[in-house]
Amino acid sequence: MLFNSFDFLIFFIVFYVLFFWSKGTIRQIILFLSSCIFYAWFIPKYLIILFVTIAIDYYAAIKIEDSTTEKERKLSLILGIINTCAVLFIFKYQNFFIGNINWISGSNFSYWNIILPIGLSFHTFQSLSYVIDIYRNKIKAERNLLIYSNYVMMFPQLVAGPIERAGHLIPQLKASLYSKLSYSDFSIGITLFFYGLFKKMVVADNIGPYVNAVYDNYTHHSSMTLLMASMLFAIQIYADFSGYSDMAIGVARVLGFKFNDNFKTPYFSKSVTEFWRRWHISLSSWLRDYLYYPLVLGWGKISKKKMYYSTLITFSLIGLWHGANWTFIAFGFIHGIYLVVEMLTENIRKWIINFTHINKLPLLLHLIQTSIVFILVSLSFIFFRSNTFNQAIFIFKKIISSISIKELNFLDTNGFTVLSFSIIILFLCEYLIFNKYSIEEIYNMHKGKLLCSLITISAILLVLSFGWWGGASFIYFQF
Amino acid sequence: MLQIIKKVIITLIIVIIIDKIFSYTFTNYIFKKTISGESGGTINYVINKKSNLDFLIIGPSRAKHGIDPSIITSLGNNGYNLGINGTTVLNSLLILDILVKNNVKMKTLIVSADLSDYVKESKEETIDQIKRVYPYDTPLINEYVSKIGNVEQIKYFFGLYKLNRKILNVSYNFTKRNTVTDNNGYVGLPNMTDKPDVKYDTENFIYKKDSTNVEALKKIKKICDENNIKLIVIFSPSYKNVFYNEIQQKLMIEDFKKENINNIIDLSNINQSPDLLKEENWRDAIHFNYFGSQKFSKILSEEIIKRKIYKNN
Repeated sequence: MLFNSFDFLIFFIVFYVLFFWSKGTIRQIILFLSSCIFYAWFIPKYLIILFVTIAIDYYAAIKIEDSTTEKERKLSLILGIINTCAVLFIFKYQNFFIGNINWISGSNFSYWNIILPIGLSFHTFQSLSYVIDIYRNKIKAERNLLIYSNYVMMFPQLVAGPIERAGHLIPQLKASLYSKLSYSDFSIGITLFFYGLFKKMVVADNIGPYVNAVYDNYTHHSSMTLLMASMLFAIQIYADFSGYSDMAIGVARVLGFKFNDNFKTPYFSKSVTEFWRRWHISLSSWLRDYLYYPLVLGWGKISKKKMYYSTLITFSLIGLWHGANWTFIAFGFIHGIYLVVEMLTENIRKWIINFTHINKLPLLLHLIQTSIVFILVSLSFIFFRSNTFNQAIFIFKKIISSISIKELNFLDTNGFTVLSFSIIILFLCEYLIFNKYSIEEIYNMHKGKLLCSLITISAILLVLSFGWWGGASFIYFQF
Repeated sequence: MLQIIKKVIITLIIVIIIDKIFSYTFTNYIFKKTISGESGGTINYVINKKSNLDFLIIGPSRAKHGIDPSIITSLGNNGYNLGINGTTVLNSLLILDILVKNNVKMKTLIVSADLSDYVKESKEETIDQIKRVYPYDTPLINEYVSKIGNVEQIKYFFGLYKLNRKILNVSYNFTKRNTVTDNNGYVGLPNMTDKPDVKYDTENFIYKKDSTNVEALKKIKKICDENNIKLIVIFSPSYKNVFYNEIQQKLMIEDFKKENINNIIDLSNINQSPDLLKEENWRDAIHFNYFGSQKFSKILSEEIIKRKIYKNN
C-alpha cells in the first residue's frame, strides 16, 4: 500500500479510529493486523518470510539473554545473524552472486525467478541490530512476541524505514499500550505527512519523467542534458526518499510514536562527511555502529590507514545494501573515496580557506562548499541510476568530455517548468524553515500551531495544483 | 478525538474554500482568455477565433506536425489543425464535444488515428487523456470521470486538480495572448539529428474492437452525424513502416466500416507513398519534418479529391 494512495487514506482512517479507542493488548493486536494488511497489499505470501525471521530472531534473542556461557550466547547470536542474512542473501543477492560466478568461471548456473520482497533490506537490518544489541547487553530481550513483531513490522516503517533501533522503539510500543493519543502529536504528524507528500508528489514525481526519458535514451542526449538529468535525479531521490521518511515519521507520530529523523536537509552540507550525517541517517548510523566501529576498533591498534580501509569497506557495503548490482557498489565506493579524500585533504582545505580569506564571506563559502558537495553527489548518483556499469561509464565519460549549456534539451517545456518551480519551492522551504527548525520545534514556537496548519494547507493545495497523480511508487521500495 | 475531528474538518473547509476561489478566478479570468499552448489554449483559440471552419484536424503529434491545412485546399481554405501531442482518439472525442458545445461549426472533421490507439487499454491512460481537457466541464467529461471511479470523482471535485500541472503554462501563455497571430495550428518540425532507429513492438499491436478508443471513435461519428459534419479518418505512415502492422490495420479498418465510418484514408503503409520513403522527409521514426509534412499533406489532399470526399461540402 502506498502512502500516496486513496487506499492508504481509507485504511488509515479505519485503523486510526480502532487504534484510538482501543487499549492494551487489543491495541497491539490492531497494530499487528494492520501492519499485516499493509504489507500483504503488495505481495501477501511474503508475510511468511517476515513471520519466520521474526520467530527465529525472537527465539535467538531470548536464548542470548538466557544463556549462561559465552559460547551459547555466541551461538545464539550467530543463529540470529545467519537467519536474517540468509533471507537477505537468498532473495536479494543470490542472482547477483550467480551472475558473478558465471562471469568469472564461464559456467552457466541458472538464475532464480524470485521477486524481491518489499522493504527486505530495512526490516532485516532492524532485526539484525536487535539481536546484536542484546548480545552487547545494550537492551533486554523482548519476551512479548506481539510487541517484538510490532517492532519489526510496524507499518509506517516496514517497507522503507527509517531503520529504528529496538532500544528506541520497543519502550515506546510498551508505553503506547495505555497512553492517550494527543492532539499535538496528531498536528505534528499530519504536518510532517503532508510535507512529505508534497516532496514526493510535487517534486520527486515531476522530476521522474524527465530523468527516465533521458536515462532510457542516454546515447541520444547531449552531455549537458545528461548532467542535468543526473543532478535532477539527485534531487528526485532526495525528495522521494525523504518524502517517504517524512510520511512514515508523520504517520507514526499521529499514533504517538517518535521516530528518529532520517534526513536533515543534506544538500546544505559543507562536506560529503557532513552529507552522510544528514542523509539516510538511520542507515549510515546503523553501519557506523555495527560495521565501521567494529572494523576500526577491532583487530589491533587504531590507525589512519585502518580508518581509510574501514571507510571504503563500509561505503561499498552501503552501496551493496541498496541493490545487488556493481553500479550500487560503485556508488558506495565513490562515496568512500570522497570521504577518504576529505580526511586526507582536511589541512589543505583549511589552508586554502585561510589563504583566500573566503571565510570572511561565510555565505559565499557555504554556497561554494554546498555546490561542490551537490555536484560530487550528483555524479555519484549516475552509478545509482544507471541500469548497467557500462551505461554509467558512458554517461560519466560524456559529461566530463564536454559541456555546452546550448545543448540542454528540456524535452517537455511544460514539464520542465513545473519541475523547476517545484524544486524552487522545496529548496526555499528547506533553506528558510527546515534547515533551522524541525516541525516539532515549529509547533512549539509562538504561533507555531498556526504555522503548522499553514504548512499542511499549503502542501495539500500544492499537491492538488502541481502533484503528479500517476501513482508513482517510491524508489526505495526496491531495496 | 473531537479536537482532532474539528481540526480535520476546519482544514478541509479552508482547503475547499481556497480551492474554489482560486480555481474559479483562474479558470474564468485567465484560462478562458488564453489562446495558445496545449493546456487548453489552442482549443480556446478555435472557440474564440475559428468558430466557423471548413475543416478541422484533430489527433496526436503526428497530426499536429504532419498535416498542413493550407495544402488541403480540396476541403476549403478555412481549415485548422488542432493536433495535440500525446493524445488519443478519446481525447479527440472530448475536444470535439467541447467545440460543439461552444458552438464551433465545421463542415469536415479529419481525425488522425493510429492503430496503436486501439491496442492497449489502461485506466491510467484513460485518466491521462481525460485530464488533458480539464477544466472544461462538459457532461461527456463528467460521464467519463464517473466511469473511471470514485477516486477520480473525488479528485475532480477540486478545481485545482482540474488545473493540475497547467497553472504555470497557462499563466505564461496568458501573458502572451495579445501577441498570438492568426494561424492554422500546424507546426512544422526541423530535420532529424540522428537516424530514426526507434523500434516499436508492432507485432503486439493487436486491435481491440471493444477498447475505449474504438468506443470514442463511434461517439465521434455520432456527434458528426448529429451536427452534419463529414468525418474523415486518416492513418499516417511511419519511416520504414516501424509503426505498421498490416494484418491488424486491415482488421481495424474492416471493423470501422461496419460502424459506417466509410471515409477512411489509410496511408499507413509507407510503400504506398514512395515520395515519403527517404530519410530526408522525417524528423524521427513516426513524425515528418517540415518537408515531409508538406508532401504528405499534398498526398492527403489528392486522396480526398481522388475519393471525391470533398463533394457535398
